[in-house]
Amino acid sequence: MSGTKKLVLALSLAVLLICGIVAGGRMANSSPTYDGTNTDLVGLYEDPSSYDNTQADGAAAIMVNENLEKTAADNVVFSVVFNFRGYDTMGESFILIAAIAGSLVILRKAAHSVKKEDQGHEDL
Amino acid sequence: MKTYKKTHPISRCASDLFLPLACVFGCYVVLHGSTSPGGGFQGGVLVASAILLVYLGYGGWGVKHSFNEHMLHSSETVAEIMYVVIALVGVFTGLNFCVNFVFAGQQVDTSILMNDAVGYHVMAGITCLLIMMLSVLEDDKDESSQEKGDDAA
Repeated sequence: MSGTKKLVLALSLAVLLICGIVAGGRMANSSPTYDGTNTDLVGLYEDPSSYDNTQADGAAAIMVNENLEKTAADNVVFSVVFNFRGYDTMGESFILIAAIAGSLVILRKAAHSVKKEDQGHEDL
Repeated sequence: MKTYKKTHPISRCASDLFLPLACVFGCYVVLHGSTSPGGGFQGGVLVASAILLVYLGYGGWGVKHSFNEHMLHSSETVAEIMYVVIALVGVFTGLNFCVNFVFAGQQVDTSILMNDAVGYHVMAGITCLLIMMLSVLEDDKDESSQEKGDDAA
């Protein structure tokens, strides 16, 4: 990799890092979307069968009823996956990256060692 | 000049026939994801499966000559950065992470772009994985054929 390429890469990564830090600060300062005031989480955990499901209980009802005005997405599942649970999708993609990097390391090592063994035989 | 290994004509013709269909159907699933339940992951895997059709039709030679593995591996990272940047734009417009900031009330939607980014990411990632597996398969084949040759000699 040449010097200018490295410089451009480092600069772009630095810009991304600064953007992330600034965005984190803004997210920490902004008001929460759902504070869970009307949901009795302890009651739900201790006795889930007797919990009153008829009332709108927070996040699920918000997702279903206010989907269109909140996200402007046609499909509820799509808006849940990419809007309400965007962090989850991002984590999934990072897991895929990690899995592929791991298998790349192992399989490349195997291929290289096979080639080296072949070269060793030729030398002998 | 070394060309592809002669596979059976039926498998070659079948791969020729189904390769464009698989690619187009996968792209359709990715682009149609906004009006159906998701579609980035599924469509990406559908497009990535096209490499298996190439392998069936043209062998390891076809795979080696039609895909650039390093390019795929870096485009995977580019897609991930795209996803994070599109999600962060929501923060800079004063809303939350991953929130659609185009509030015009139509179907114009930033999560469509995020869906496309995920589709691109899965497409490149799974193709990269399959290339690695197929290359290991080819190495094993070469080894076994070499051993057979040694035995014959």
